[in-house]
Order: sequence, then C-alpha cells, then structure tokens
Amino acid sequence: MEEIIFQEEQVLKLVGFKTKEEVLSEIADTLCQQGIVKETYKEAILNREKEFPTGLNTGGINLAIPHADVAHVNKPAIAIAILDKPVEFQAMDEPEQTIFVQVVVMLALKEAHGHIEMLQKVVGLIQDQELVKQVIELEDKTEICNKIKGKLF
Amino acid sequence: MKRVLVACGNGIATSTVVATKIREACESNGIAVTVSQCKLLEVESKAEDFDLLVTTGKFSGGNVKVPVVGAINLLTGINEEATLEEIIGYLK
Repeated sequence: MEEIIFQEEQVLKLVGFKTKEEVLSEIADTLCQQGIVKETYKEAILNREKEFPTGLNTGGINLAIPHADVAHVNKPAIAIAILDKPVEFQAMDEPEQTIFVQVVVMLALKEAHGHIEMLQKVVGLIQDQELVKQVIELEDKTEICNKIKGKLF
Repeated sequence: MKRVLVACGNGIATSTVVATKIREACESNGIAVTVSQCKLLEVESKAEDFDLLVTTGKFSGGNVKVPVVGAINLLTGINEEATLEEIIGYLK
C-alpha cells in the first residue's frame, strides 16, 4: 500500500476564512498544486459536502472530515487546516444542523475500503480533544505537524 | 450468520471505520457476522439482503424494512459504547 503523505506542507493555518466553501477550496487547491489530487477533486469535495456533509459534533472543538471519491486522487494524503475562527458546517448525522468547525481534516484517499488503520487513527485524533485543543493553540507548523504525526503514525 | 450493511456518503471512509469497529465488537462478543459497505445512495437497492443497516450520515433514502442504527457516535466517541451495544443487540 502506498504511504500516506502528511508533512508540514499539508498543514494549513487559515486566517479570516468565513465560509466552508472558502476553506474547502483553499485546502483542495493546495493539494492540487502539490500534485496530490486531480483538478476535479475540489469540485467533488464541494459537491459531496453539499450532499453529504462531514461536520462532526464532538462536544468540544468540532471537526470536519471532507473527502471525495478515490478517482480524484493521485497520491493518498491527509491535510489539516486550523481556522482562526470556527466556520459553519453542517453535521454529518443531521444535515439541517449547523455546527461551528475549527479543524478540518481533509482526506485524499486512494483506495476504497482501504487505509483502515489510518482512518481509525484519524478518528482517534478527532476523539482526542486534549490534543486537538493543544494543536489549535500552536502557531508553528512544524510543531503542529509533529504533534499530529505522533497520533497518526 | 447475520449480515450488516454499513453506509456513508461515499462508502469509503467513515463506513470503513464503523465496519471495522462492528467487526471487532462482534468478535469480542463471539458473534459471527459479515459486514459490507456501500454509499448511502445505494442503500435502498441493497438493504433487503441484510439484517441491519448502520449509517454515519443521515439515512433518508427511502423505505427499508431492516432496523437502522445511526453510528455517528462511533466517530465522535460520545456514547460510543451504548451505540455498539445497540448494534450488538440486533445481531445476537
């Protein structure tokens, strides 16, 4: 199985973003520029979020886990965006419910039903609210990256 | 053997995590199951072959006769055990 890419370059600190569309586009554009996803990925992500939202209400810092079909991905990767102010997403389980999301974990998956271990670790990260709280306070991308790597790899 | 269908938006990410958790929980409870995954949009055409439907996203895809359990808790970790018990309850 191909190794999943997650480095400093896939850590984004987003300042002044106001909508989920802006946030999702920025992350998707970044992954596209890095050759990780195809040009079709951004549209797939935006459509998917409309149809099947990915916001997760954790009771603490809320996260979203946008992802799209494997056809739009060149190399498997994870990108993490930390927002200075939470933006509105819809909840995965209750699409009419609006939740405020501060951390977006974008998954560029290359294999359907694969990447099980990594997906489980991403869910572990979502559930580790202590770590999420520490990460959103960090300014330095290297530190953020290392902290998250410790949980994911 | 009971059959479980796990559905999420794309049928590739959150259903993978949930399917794995169900398999593990069934194994530790000594329950033999087969767990399959699909997209939410495919549920209506597939559900009749299964004993239980588990979804991460909201299922509003029409009429299915099997019991449906929402499994968002297996992602957020809130009341995760209670949701797993509910699922196991249908499979015993």
